[in-house]
Amino acid sequence: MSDTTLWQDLVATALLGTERQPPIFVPQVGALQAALTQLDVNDRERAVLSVAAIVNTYQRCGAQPPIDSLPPLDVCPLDETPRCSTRAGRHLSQMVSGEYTSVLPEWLQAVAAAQRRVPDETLPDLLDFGQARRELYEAISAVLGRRGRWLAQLNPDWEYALGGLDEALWETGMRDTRLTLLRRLRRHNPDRAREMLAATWANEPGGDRAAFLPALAIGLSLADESFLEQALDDRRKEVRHAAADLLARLPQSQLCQRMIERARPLLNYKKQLLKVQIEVTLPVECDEALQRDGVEVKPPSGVGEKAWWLRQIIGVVPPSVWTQQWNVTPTALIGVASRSEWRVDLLTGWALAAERSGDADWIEAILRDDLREALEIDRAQLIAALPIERREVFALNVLRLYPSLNPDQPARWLLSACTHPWSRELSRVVIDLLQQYLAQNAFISPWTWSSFLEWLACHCDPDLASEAAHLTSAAPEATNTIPALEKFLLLLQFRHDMLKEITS
Amino acid sequence: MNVTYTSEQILALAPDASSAQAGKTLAIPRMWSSLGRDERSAWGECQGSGAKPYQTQIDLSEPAFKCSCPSRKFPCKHALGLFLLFVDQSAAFKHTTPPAWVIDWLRGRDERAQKQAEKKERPPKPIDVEAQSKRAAKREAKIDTGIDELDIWLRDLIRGGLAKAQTQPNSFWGTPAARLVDAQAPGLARRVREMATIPASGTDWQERLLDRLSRLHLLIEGYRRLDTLPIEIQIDIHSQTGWTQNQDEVLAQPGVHDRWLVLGQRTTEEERLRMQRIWLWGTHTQRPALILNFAYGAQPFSDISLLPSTSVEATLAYFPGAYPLRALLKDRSGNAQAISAIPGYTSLKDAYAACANGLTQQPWLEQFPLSLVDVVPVQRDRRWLLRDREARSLPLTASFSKGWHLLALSGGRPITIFGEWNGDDLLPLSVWAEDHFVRLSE
Repeated sequence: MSDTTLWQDLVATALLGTERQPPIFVPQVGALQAALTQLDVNDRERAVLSVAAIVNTYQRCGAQPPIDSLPPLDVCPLDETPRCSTRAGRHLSQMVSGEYTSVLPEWLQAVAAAQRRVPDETLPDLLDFGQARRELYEAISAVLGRRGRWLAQLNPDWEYALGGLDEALWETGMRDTRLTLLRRLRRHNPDRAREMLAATWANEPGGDRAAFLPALAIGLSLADESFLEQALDDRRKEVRHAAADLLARLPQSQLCQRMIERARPLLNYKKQLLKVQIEVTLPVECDEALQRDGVEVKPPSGVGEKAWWLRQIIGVVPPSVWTQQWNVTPTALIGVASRSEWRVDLLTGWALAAERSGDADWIEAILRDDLREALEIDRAQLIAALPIERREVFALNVLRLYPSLNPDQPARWLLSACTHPWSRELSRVVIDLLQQYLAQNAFISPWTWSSFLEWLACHCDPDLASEAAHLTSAAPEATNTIPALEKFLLLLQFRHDMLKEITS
Repeated sequence: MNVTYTSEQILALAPDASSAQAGKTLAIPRMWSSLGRDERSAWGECQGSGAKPYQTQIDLSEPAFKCSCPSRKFPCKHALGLFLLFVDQSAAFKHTTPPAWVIDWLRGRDERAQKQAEKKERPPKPIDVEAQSKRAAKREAKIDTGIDELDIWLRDLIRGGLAKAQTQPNSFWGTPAARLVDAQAPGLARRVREMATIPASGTDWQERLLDRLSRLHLLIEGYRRLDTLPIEIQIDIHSQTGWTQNQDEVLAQPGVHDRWLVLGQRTTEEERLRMQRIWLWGTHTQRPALILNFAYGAQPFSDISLLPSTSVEATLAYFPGAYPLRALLKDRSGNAQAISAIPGYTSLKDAYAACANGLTQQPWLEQFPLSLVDVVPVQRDRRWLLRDREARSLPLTASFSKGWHLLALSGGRPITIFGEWNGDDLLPLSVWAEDHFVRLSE
């Protein structure tokens, strides 16, 4: 009889209680039996406990570690990409545990640019953190290295991070994973990405089609036109609209040409003696062909039906069409339009067209007119469409004209739209303005300031961290002002340290 | 090579979260003036709310701190800030001779250390032997009664059957535990209290409960015939019951000198009493040692000089027993150094044999330090285990939350893991992988 049976008998006896079940001690061999023979079996409880103690110790001492019969894991191939330093890894740990989290996208980008990877021990925390942050999927998958990819394929929760690395996931992955894959492939090989999408397009559910199509904005070219033209007839409205928007961003597309033909008769540039004006003829109807090209019939409240169609039509016409046709600069043309009773419709349409075509002269001219008299336009989109150098010059000019960080001043929306890392010059101007503000004011409502200050700290040149330290001496001794500034300075300093740690 | 401290190690020294946060805020050069350092120390002056800046200094060899600020927290935010700054931007510290206030402090420390060493040499004060034995006799009588009551409770439980334990209220365990505390047997009280969660702990709970009960029974039996047992076992049974050994007596014994590797650290908390367990390994003596530190509530641990991933030249005094493990730090010399590997068992069979050896000498051993070289973490049925080269395996504690971290560090390749083995599963505390030490924070 084995000691295991003896132990199991004991457990059964103890479970029922010795009152009901007298213990039975099957004879053992060797040392165990020698120890058992010394017991007084008539004292049932003591016997059970004593035998349990002996057998238990006997088993523990003689135990062998069990064999794991399953095959071992596939070993992760060694990684040539060097790990970033331990200290850089600690910066990462800080960010994924909720401290300075707003800096994480910049950290990820810097690590990818330095061709480094995340330290092994931080991978699980980053992969867990990223799960709920779709906007970081691509950035995370770029810094995982072999070890991280090896790890991610072992945990279904982390599948998202493999998107863009394994084309097979297009067939098997979840929607977000596939979207990441599509976007990433689009960056490297746009034709291959479109073909991949087209191959499964007919069988994709509407929600997926609507999610995938906007990804073609990455690396968009005329090669995509025929695919997008087909999508104009899609069953799902969001898909049709996304397709029309993408075609509107291709000035050579059939859709743009059709719109130009429709728009030309609607606007007429007239010079009579000293008077220059734009004559506007409103479109008569919104037929099926126009709707197919993305024009919505029903206007938002406060906009006339026909004026709404007009805005949408000229929103597709590259604005250079007009400046070339009438041989006039954007600024001059906008000046004329500003005097027109159709100012809002013309400028709103042109703003959309300028953003779609990325025409920097037009964008700047529209924003200048908007500063004079505000329009309902997407300023952030317009500024984002400017090349970085032009954006910087434009921002500096505006800050010179409106030198204040007061919440009602243009600097607020302007700086909030500048999503690139700011030049030292722009950063200095911003820090000077902050100092000027503090010379006269405290942060009266700190909550309106805290997110703005965080934004400033995330975009100012981090090399100015120590230079900016004098701000605290300029600040008034008001509640919340100094702590808010300290937070700003710490964040700037953190960016400085974390970037230095990655590049050193 | 001198040890390089890490930010985590420093932040782990903080007495509470707000001190840690405040320390980080101060870890910027512009907060400080006259930052300086030499081989042994680092110092700086920090402008606080007072007129005079605070003078903050660190003895890097231990580390130890001093600051002229009035804070009662230790280490204070200035000391933490200065230390963080030192490890992050050591270039901000000028290599120079220390100012007088630093020299004075270091000299004071050296003098105190010497006095303490001298004190240890001196024979202890004569003790009133009669009064002491009277007190002991009184306590023994109390414990005897407590043990008799415990025995009756235990027998009742076995007679009535463990099945009933599943429906018992908390007081079923709490009442006898409280009576044992009254009987001045806190060690037994803890064992009873810890059983309370077993009936609801899932499959095989009855086996685990019988295991614990039988070990408690063994302790009772041992206590009742204490005089017939070897002296080491007597001491073990005494300390398991809850007698605390006199630390001065422990320290008065000859020590064990060695270079001790600090392999792992773990802090547990019970009713606001925090206990820090620090595991050491002697490089020459090839034996483990356990240092315990205690702190109440938000109080900091008094000794914060043993940092995992470092090694120190030191003399330890072991608490006597059949399998001595717990020890006190008698003295230490020289700087802490970074360790270059975690030594340990290369096969799980050997590790089991070593534990069996410990258990045969001291059957009440609850935690056994294990270093496992060349093991691969794998997940089987949502449970993590370690697998050695012979495909033998050892389960990790079910509540251990860093299995994926182990896997990330291993990449499917063998690594070294140090942890606490309780006879059923292992709680990993530290890892050695690709030439670096990783402490698994809790």
